[in-house]
Amino acid sequence: MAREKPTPTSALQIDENLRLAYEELMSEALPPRFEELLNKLRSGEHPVPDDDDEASS
Amino acid sequence: MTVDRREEIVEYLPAMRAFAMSLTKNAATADDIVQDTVVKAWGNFEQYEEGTKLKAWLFTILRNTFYSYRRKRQREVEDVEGVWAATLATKPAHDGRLQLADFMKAFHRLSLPQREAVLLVGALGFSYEEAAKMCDVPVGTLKSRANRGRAELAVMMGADENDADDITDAATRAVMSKSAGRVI
Repeated sequence: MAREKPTPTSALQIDENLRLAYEELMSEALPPRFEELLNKLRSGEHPVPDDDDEASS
Repeated sequence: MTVDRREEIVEYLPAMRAFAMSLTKNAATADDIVQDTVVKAWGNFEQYEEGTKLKAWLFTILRNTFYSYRRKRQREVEDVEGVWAATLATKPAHDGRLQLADFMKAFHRLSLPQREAVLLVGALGFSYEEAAKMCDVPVGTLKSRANRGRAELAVMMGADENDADDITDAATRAVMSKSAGRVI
C-alpha cells in the first residue's frame, strides 16, 4: 500500500526508528564501572546486588 | 583451554544498558540495574539452560531487576533528556539524529508496558512468543501492547488516527512486510 505522507507511520518504520535509536544508545562507550565490575567477577569477587531472586530462568 | 561461557555476557552489555535506559529514563539508575543484572547472571550462570537463548535469559533478569528497583524506589528521577542528550553531545547533530531524538521523546511518553513490548519486539528482535514469556503475559497481551504502542507513536509523530488504526490491521502489516525493502 503506497503512503504519500512524508512522516513515517507504518509499524515497520516505527520499528526501524526504534532500532536506529537503540543502536545510538548501544554505541555509547561503557562507563569504566563495568570493566571494574567484570575484573572483580573474573577474579572471583562477587559484589552483592540489592536483590538476588531474579536470576531464575 | 576451557572457555568461560560467562564471558558471553560481556557482548550483551551495550544492548542491556540501552534497554535499561529505555525503561528507566535515567542513565545512572540504568547502569545500577545493569550492574546488578551482570552480578546475578554471573553468579547464577548454572541456572542458564544450554541451548536456549542467552540473550533472552539475560534480558529477563534485567527486566525483573528493573521492576524490583521500581518497587523499592517510590520516586524515580526521570531524565529523558539526559539519556538522549548523552548521545547527541558526543556526535554531530544533524536532522536525522534530531528527528530520532524527537522520536525517542515520543517513545518515552508511552506507558511502561507498551515501551517494553515495543522495544522487545521492534528493537531487540525477540519474537512475540519470546517477549511474552519474558514479560510473563499471554502472547495476545504482548501483541496488543506492541501494536498499541506503535499506533500511539505513529500518532505522536504526526500520523492521523486512520494511519494509527492501520498499524493494528493484520492485513496491512502483511502487505507492508512484503515491501520491507523500501527506503524509509
